[in-house]
Amino acid sequence: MGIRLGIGGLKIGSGSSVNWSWATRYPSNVVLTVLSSTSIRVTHTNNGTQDFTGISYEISPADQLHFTENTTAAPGTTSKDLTVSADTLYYVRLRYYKD
Amino acid sequence: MGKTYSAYSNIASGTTPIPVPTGLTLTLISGGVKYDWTDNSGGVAETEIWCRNDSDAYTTATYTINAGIVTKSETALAVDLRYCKIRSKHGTNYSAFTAESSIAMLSAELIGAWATAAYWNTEFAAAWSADNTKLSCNDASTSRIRRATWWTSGSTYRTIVTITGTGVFRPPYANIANQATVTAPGTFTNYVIPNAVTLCMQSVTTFVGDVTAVSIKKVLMP
Repeated sequence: MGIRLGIGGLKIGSGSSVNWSWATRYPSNVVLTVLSSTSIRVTHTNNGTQDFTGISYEISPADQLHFTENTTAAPGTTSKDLTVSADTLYYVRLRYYKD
Repeated sequence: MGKTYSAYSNIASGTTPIPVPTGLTLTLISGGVKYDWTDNSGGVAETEIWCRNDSDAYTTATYTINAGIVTKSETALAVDLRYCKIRSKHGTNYSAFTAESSIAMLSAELIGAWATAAYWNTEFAAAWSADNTKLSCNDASTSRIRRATWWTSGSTYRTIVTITGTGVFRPPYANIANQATVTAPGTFTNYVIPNAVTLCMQSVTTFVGDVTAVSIKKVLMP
C-alpha cells in the first residue's frame, strides 16, 4: 500500500519538511565537471524559480550515502564552482529549499 | 520552522585528479640523468617518469617511483637528447603530465672534461689540467685551445664555452678570425662545429686578461 500525499507538505523529523507541490519542480540535468584537482563545477537546469529561496548543493565523497550540504546558491543559479579535495570521487545532488 | 525542500535532482559524479607534480629538473650525472621533482599529493601518490630519446616517442612509463620519493637517477644512457615528463598516480587516478623537460646526454669522455674547470694561465702555455688527452692548449704562441676529435664523424653539435676571468676572445670555431668576440667573463654559445674541424678559442690581440677557468660543453643539436 502506498502513501497518500496531501497538499501542503509532509513534515519530516523536526523542523524540516518536503513541499509536495514541488514534486515536479526540482533541479534536473545536474552535471559535474572537474575543473582542477581542487575544484568542480556543478551545472543544472532550473525548473521554476518561484516558491523557493535557494538551491542546496550536497556532495558526498566516495559513495552515494553520505551527502552533506556543501553550499547554497541564490535562485536562478545554474552553475556553481565548489572547492573540494584532490584525488577524490564526488557525488553531487541538488534540491530547492525555502526558508 | 525549518526549511522546506523540493525533491532531489539526479546525482552526478566525478573524480578530482591528483595535483600535478612540479619542479621537474634533469641534471646530468656521469653516464646518465638525475631527476628531481616536487610531489604535490601529500605523499600518497606514486610518480611515473616517462622518458624518450630524441628520435623516439613516448610509449609507457619508464619508471614508477614509490610514494614519498622525489628523486631518481638512471645511468648507462646513450648519447642523445633525453626528454622526460612525469605525473602522479594513486590507484587508477592520475594527475596531468608536467611539461616536457629535456637534457643532452654527453659521451662519457666529455663529462669529466667540461665538468671540471680547467686552469688556463696568462701565457696560455699550461696544459688543461682536466685531461690532456681530451683538451689541450698546444699552441701557446697563438693563444689557442685546440680539440679536434670531440665529435663523432657525421654528426654536428653545439658547443657552449664559458670563460671566467678577464680578456677579449674569439669563439671556438674553425675560422676564428672572422668570428665575433666576447669579453670574459662571458659565454660563447650555440656554435655549430662542423665535422672534423679543429675547435679553437683565441685571444683577439695581445693578451691583457687573466683567464682563470674555461668550461666547455658539447651537446647534440636539437
